[in-house]
Amino acid sequence: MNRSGQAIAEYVILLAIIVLIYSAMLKNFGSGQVFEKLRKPFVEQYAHTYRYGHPDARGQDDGGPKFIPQYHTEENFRIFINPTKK
Amino acid sequence: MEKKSHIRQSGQALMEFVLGLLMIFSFFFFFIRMSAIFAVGNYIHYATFMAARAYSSGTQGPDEPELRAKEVLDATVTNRFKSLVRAKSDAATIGGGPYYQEDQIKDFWNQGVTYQFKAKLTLYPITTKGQSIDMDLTSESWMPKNPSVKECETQMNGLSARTGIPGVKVEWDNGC
Repeated sequence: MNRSGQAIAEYVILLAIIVLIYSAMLKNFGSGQVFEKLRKPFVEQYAHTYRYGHPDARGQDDGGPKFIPQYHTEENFRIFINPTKK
Repeated sequence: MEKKSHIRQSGQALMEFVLGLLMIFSFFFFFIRMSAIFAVGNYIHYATFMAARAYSSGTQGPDEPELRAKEVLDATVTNRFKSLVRAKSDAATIGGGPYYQEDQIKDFWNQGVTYQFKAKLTLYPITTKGQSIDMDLTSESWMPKNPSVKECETQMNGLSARTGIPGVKVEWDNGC
């Protein structure tokens, strides 16, 4: 009796199990706080730094102007390197 | 007498190796993709600056600055890097920015180009909603615009009348 297909069948089933375990792990990882902590610097701090040059800066369309050097108000003075955290 | 186990256990190492390898590969390619997105982001900043510069110095007619800026964006970022970033609909805004005011002493500087795009960071190729980091990024570049030839002509011709002295003509030499 030809049994050469057994190894392939086992391989495919094993691969399916590995992928299932892996995707389950990542699904839990995605809904957990770890993922939120990973997401926040990209979605908020990096996005603001990329747009305005400062992680705490805000434009008019998201609650500003704040830490915008060209805008002349008390909070927007040209020199505000490393502002203190409140 | 100790009973000898006949169950094969070599598969355990294989499973651990494959799972570990998948996890390592996930993080490895996550950082590769992140670096590529940052690099393209820098390039888009440069392209936005070049477009704003073209907008600032397009001097022939009223429509020319916008046209020049659009040409630069088309040549540098439009329909490029699609595997990494996706331009939003109406991605580019050319002209006066949110702080722009006609008064040259106040916020006349706020003219230029805004380019909006999205970038997606994932740990593995196929993801559902909530399993990826969707970044909304905006590149802005502002600088005061030089007056066009027409604007300069209008301004200088107006000066002649404003002197109030009959017969006095202000020579127009594109010196705006």
